[in-house]
Amino acid sequence: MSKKMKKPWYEYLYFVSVAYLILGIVNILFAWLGVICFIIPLVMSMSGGGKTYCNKYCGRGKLFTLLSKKYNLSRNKPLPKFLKTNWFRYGFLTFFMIMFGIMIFNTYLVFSGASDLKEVIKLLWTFKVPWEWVNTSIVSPWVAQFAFGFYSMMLTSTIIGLVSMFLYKPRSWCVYCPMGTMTQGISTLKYNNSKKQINK
Amino acid sequence: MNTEVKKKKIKRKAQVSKDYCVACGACTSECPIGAIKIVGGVFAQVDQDRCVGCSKCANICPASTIDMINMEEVK
Ligand code: SF4
Ligand code: SF4
Ligand code: SF4
Repeated sequence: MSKKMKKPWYEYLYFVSVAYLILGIVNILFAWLGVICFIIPLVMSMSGGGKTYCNKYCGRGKLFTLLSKKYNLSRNKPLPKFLKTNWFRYGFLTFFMIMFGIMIFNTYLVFSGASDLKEVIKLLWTFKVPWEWVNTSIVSPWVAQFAFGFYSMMLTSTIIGLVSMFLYKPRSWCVYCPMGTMTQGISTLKYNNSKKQINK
Repeated sequence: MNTEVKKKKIKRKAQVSKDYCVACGACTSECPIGAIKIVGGVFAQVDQDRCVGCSKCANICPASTIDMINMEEVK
């Protein structure tokens, strides 16, 4: 009889993704934990680890796979071609970075006292959802403002990812995920450089 | 003619087209025999000597960039 292979521990990392979303609802300040998921993939690819984070440890990728396989939540249709082009991928990355920049600027405005803390989550960069059930006065207003901005971004990208998963293949989001595009860009630069050095 | 045909066995193997590969690793997790590796975080590569042609990788690939190609082998 064939023995069932034991799943490696990182196959359960979807738990991290779900826990993050729940913790953000419980207390928005937990949104800061998401910064780790920004730093780790970048550090990994910059230090020559390629897309190890995407390939093994990303909780979001695992979550999409799990939801599709276990609960049949994906239509499993191919992604439209334009969504796979570098134009779209890098365009989306640029858009995301601009939004990230605006979020940092808003945090700065609160830090400098030029504007007040807004206790809202902005979904899809448009819809404001009041998020006022936790007292954030234990921290400086700018710390809370960053948490609201960062959580908005994480929730928005999760929603786009889930819609992509449903409409197309389970991990369609990974095709235009800004983090994945960035780490692949860094890896490509490194790969081309090492090839050049070998050819010298 | 028939004997000639019988000698040949068509085998299907996975092949990644690098153009659209985003090196996400969905295919590597899916391959039951671990025949795919991600090269430098840039693209996926199939070890065609080991590939058993199950198509699992092609089905999961979000960029639909894995083709199952027919290979004729003399038995
Ligand atoms: S592309 Fe994005 S969502 Fe997909 S595995 Fe990488 S970091 Fe995670
Ligand atoms: S699943 Fe497709 S896009 Fe992802 S690494 Fe494999 S071949 Fe590339
Ligand atoms: S066709 Fe099957 S055996 Fe071949 S690389 Fe894809 S998943 Fe692995």
